[in-house]
Amino acid sequence: MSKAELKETALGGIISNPVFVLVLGTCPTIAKSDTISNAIGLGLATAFVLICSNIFISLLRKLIPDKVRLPAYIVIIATFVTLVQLFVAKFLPDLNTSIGAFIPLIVVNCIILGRAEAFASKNGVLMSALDGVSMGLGFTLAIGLMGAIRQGLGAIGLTLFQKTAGGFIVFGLLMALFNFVFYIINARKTKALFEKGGN
Amino acid sequence: MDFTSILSLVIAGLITNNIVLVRSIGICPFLGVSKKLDSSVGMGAAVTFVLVLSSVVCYLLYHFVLVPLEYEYLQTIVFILIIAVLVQLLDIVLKRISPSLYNSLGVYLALITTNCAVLGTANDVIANGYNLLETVVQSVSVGLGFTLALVLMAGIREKMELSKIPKPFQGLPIALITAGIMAIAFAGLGGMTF
Amino acid sequence: MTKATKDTIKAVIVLFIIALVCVALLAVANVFLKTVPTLDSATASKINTIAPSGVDDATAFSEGYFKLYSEEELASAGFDLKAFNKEKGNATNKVTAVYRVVKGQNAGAFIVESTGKGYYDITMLTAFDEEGKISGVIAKTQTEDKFSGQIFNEDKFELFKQSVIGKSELPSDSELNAVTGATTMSSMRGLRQAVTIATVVIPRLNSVADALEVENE
Repeated sequence: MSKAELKETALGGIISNPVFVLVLGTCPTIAKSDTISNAIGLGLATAFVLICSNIFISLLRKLIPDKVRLPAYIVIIATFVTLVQLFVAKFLPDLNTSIGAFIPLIVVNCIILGRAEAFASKNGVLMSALDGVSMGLGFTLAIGLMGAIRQGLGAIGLTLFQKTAGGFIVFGLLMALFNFVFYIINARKTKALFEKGGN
Repeated sequence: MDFTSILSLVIAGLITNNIVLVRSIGICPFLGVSKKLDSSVGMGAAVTFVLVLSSVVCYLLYHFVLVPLEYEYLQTIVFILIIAVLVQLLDIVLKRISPSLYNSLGVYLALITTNCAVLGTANDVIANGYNLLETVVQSVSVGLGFTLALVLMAGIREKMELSKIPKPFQGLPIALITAGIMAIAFAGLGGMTF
Repeated sequence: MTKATKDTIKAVIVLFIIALVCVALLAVANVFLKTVPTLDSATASKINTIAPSGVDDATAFSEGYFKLYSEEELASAGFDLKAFNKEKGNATNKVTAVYRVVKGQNAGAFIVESTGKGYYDITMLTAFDEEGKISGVIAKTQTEDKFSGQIFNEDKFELFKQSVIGKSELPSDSELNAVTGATTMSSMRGLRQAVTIATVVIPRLNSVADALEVENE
């Protein structure tokens, strides 16, 4: 693996942010970003499952026949999700009360199956783990950001934003902002290239 | 079985507790397929079909296999595998009886497996202690509620294709904001109970 | 056998092995990660509300005014909790723990912790007097939020309490609905199931009451 590849994978969580760019895993993003603790809790739980499943799927990638790869991935992912469920129910009962119903839904979070299919099944264990960390953190940061904004707006009295409708709106606005920022960055890059080429 | 409680389940699934616009579950396909009206109806029908079948099968398996054998912790694995199998079955059946619908759904047919609404409803049915009849009613109403949200969204998005939207908002951002406004409307109806 | 069939069989076997390993892993994890009832200070405070020991919460907890019976203790006194749950409970309701006030003004009173499923899991603590009548009831955990608030907001729960305290059985569904105004389709159902199974277990507990330890080690 080259340094460039390493850098690309490590920054994948930001540049191809699973929430704002790849638009995967939208359900928990809107549903449980109403407070920061919910958001970070669910984000970290998802990140944990993502990292573990990426590692194990990468480890077993040469052994899993193509025909059954999706059911196999699903079983592996579901196993880690169940582990998280049991752990949270026993050691974090307060978190369980607020996000407990969404932990099983991590198994259908498109990010995890998506990365398993797109990355872990084709790359080595170390790179897959790195991708898991990067995407997992990218997801947690994104949902955490939503949580901070929604909780903040709720605290100053705009309670609409802590409800579902607000979640949609904040998400849409943030995505537009992301698009805008990338647009500017790309435009600058193109302009720089253009000017360089012109010399 | 109490008629008013069945009715309240239906109203809840359709409107007051609409799975997409009130509970924000099932967003991925909601954003992905709601661009055109006819594919929305098809998707809604397919999802409802999987929802009802999977909720019933999962309910039966949970109560007659997992609980007596004390394997409740296998709920997540078993449920998602059942859903995956049912979607595969739907794939095969749909290819034969309605190739046009099959083609218009495309990759989104397989993605029904990862639709949070399907697994979510199967889990809810267990968590809320419903009996078999309530399971059926709940899954049908959730499916119809999902279809309703999809169809309403598609209607709006088809119209929006013709308007001028600033570049950063094009595509998903404006769709999300639209969904938010729809959610406000549905939340407003939330006072309805029986 | 054609190659294609061989491949399919091999694929299914691999899948089966993976599934088996995963299930085994979870079975082991389940043994360690199973939630078991514990008598912590929060629970003690709640018990002190429904079966007052006569002292404040902190003292009641630190001085061992309440005792949590383990399944072994109950079994050696003649009451099999697991069998009871299998017989009288089902997936939607069971008795999870039995506590007792061991000293203070209500010594001897049983408090039953039981769960029901209505709006997700609802765990209730129900206190009984020596005649097996309900003397107090309080929620241990429930996840009703203000959007689904049916029975656990103050006023409605007060009405519920008034209609069950002093009785050894719950009033019928329709009576409870009429009194509290809550429908049976959500948390009310879980609440009812939890308290009902508590009333079912109390005669059994009373029959082995003398054999049960009343001292906290």
